[in-house]
Amino acid sequence: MSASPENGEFGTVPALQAALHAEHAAVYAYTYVGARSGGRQRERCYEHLEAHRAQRDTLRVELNERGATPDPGRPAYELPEGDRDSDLDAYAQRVERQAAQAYLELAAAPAAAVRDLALRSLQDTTLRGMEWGTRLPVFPGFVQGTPPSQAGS
Amino acid sequence: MGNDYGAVSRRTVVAGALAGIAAAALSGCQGPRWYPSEISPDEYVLRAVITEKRRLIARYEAGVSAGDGPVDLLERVLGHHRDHLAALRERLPERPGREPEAPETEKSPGPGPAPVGDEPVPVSGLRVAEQSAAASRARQLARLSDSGLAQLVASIGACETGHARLLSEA
Repeated sequence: MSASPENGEFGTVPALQAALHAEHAAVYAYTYVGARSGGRQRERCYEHLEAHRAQRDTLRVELNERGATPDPGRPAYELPEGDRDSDLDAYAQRVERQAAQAYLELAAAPAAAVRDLALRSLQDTTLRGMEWGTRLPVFPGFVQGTPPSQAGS
Repeated sequence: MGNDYGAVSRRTVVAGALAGIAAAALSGCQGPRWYPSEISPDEYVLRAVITEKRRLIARYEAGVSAGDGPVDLLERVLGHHRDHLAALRERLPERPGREPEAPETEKSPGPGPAPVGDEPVPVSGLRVAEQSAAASRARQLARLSDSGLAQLVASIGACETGHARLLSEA
């Protein structure tokens, strides 16, 4: 297997690395939130932490299968505005939104198996975001909230 | 001898032609690999998603008109489906001499593209329809070559999964 893009237009490996980066950030975020929350918020946090750890491992396998070295992650990531419940909820929402954007990018991969992974992951991260209070977007994953217009393309 | 050689050749030609027709007929029966000549595989998938969207819209319109159940939620989800449909239609290729598709109006015109009963579908039925739509997106994604269209279909599938969640909580 090669780490180079399958075609000249889209690089599956960079997109997998971007998704892995989002998963590293999510694991860091939920570890942070879990240590500062309680009750149902804490339970949900650890459920989502486990889900993101599993996703991180899946992406590492996908990268290894393509001969690429998985990004090891950073020592620290962006933190929430504060430690109030509302701050932690907003932090979790942001983490899931960033993961959704990474998986939407991955959905452009030419390989059907990678697209399937991207779709399932995008669906899961959309649901997790809703659990933290995100209003369901019409087009999950698109940075601007809507797909780019085809006019003039 | 020359005549015999010629007769064999004709038989060979006829047999070859029959084999060719049989092969063509078989390949035509493979379903997903065959499309009308003017419709690309991507457009075929795109039109299938559009047809499903119209059916979903018709179901939600029936529910909203009936006024039963969580009407506010149904109207919100209906709005999502209309936005999805508009984005999908924008991807349809333009063809000279063919009228562009009419934009979606408040009500779906006439009967749906597939039979949808006039009776409002209960919320549980809508939830199942959303789950089914979201599941079909995976199959459709695998058949698309246009990466931008694949992203649009994936995003729509994620939204439909969210609809199913909202309906389950209604």
